[in-house]
Amino acid sequence: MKRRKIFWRRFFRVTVSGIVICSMLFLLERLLVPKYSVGTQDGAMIAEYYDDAPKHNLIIIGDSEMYENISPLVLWQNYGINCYIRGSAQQLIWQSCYLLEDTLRHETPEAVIINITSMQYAEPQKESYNRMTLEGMRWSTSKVKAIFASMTEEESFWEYVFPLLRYHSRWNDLTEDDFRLMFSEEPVSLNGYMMQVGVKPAENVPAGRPLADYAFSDVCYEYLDKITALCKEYGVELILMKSPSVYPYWYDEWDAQIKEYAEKNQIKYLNCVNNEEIGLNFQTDTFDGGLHLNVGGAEIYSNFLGRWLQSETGISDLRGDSELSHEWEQKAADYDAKKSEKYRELTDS
Amino acid sequence: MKKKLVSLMLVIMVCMFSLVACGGGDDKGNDGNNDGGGASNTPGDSTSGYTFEYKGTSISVNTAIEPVVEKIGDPTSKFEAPSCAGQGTDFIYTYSGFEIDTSPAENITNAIAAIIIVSDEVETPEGITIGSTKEDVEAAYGTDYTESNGMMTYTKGDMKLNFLLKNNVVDSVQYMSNALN
Repeated sequence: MKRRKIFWRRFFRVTVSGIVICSMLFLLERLLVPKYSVGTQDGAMIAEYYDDAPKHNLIIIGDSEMYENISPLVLWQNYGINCYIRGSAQQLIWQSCYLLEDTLRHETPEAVIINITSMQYAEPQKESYNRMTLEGMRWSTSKVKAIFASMTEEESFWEYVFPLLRYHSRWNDLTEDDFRLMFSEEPVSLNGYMMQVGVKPAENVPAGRPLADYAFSDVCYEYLDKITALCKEYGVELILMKSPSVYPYWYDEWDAQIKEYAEKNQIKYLNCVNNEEIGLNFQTDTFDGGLHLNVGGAEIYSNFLGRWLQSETGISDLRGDSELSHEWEQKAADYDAKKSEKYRELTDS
Repeated sequence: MKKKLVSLMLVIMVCMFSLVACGGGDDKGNDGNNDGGGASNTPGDSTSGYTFEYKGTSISVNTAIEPVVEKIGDPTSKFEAPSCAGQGTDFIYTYSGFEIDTSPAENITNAIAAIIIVSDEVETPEGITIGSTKEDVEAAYGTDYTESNGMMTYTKGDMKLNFLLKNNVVDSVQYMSNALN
């Protein structure tokens, strides 16, 4: 009887100690991980996707050429397309592939647009970019595969599992925001769109540097094949897209390879570089000298994209869905408020 | 009982202290400050590679651009390419016959990542320019190079000197930093 009592007392102590230690570590981790809703916001959108109802008929996956150039509100208001952009800074093709896999676990859209700018990168580029894509993904086999495909030599899988191992040195850089946003971050995007309002004309744009080899690497094709196969399996229309920008240079040789791939696999390819039909003016519609579009440019481009999607894919107009319409009314109000706020900040600065 | 509780608290405090105390230096490219973390590239020794010369000034990759511009003058044009998510800004300085590309490096804000000769208005100190033949390159730089897809590559220190050939004639000369490209 006495031995039993001792056992239970010990068991209780160990359990309580374990709970206390785990709770402290959890709190410490929540405090120390970077909060993407303040400062560099480009790492916030991947996680924000899960908060939106999975009823999108268009999913766009790619890097800043997607999340800064396309306004989902315009696609909804003018074409009834309920779109979400799963974007992250310098997203690589294997990350796009696993984000698609992750998305298809939650919903099956009518169409998926993949930005093919990333086909030029055959290797992971930088840990900070990796983290902006991977940290926001919910845990799943897709996330695990994405981590292993993305890690640079210096990175460790366990630092993704236990971010405290990676971020413990932030203790002396903590700000008030780290405490305020420990458990819930503020949304930074509207359906994955990150609004920019400045104007910086494209000037002195350099020509592309000659390359020895223009062929995309086998590893990039391997993931593009996986994307194509996933879309076929789920009956989703796949569209490969190159967003409009004047830099980095999109070589004719690259364009030819994507065209050939699209024809071979019977998928659509939309190259928007130097596409005059869009109606963009790179003297007024860009905030960073022609790399990305400001909100005016994004709205012009989104109108073009909506028209193209309607005529080329016959994507559904969902404006008849009262629940969605109601959601978008609120989103439109948020969008307008954000736009006004950003213009005010621009004028004040 | 009290002793045990105190011990437990001490263990937790030691754990927490060890977690925070080993912080400090962080060279992984994302310092977690959510400001983009800057660049993680660490250029190596800049003096051991091939150098380009213009107006009597030696220009090496992996060095800062500012002292170079001070000596050779302003470029005819300058293009600014901010990278995604505040990870620094690349610049392309265009001069007559060549361009200099810069990227942020660990200890150099604007480090020279590449020097590209684009016309025969300028040549390498060894006398090679656009239009030189493969034989000219071998005569000037020797035969200790690798060749792939029509590009001759001479490696020296933390950089590469590339001669891109088209029909056996030099089409582009590229001084490239290994760390910054």
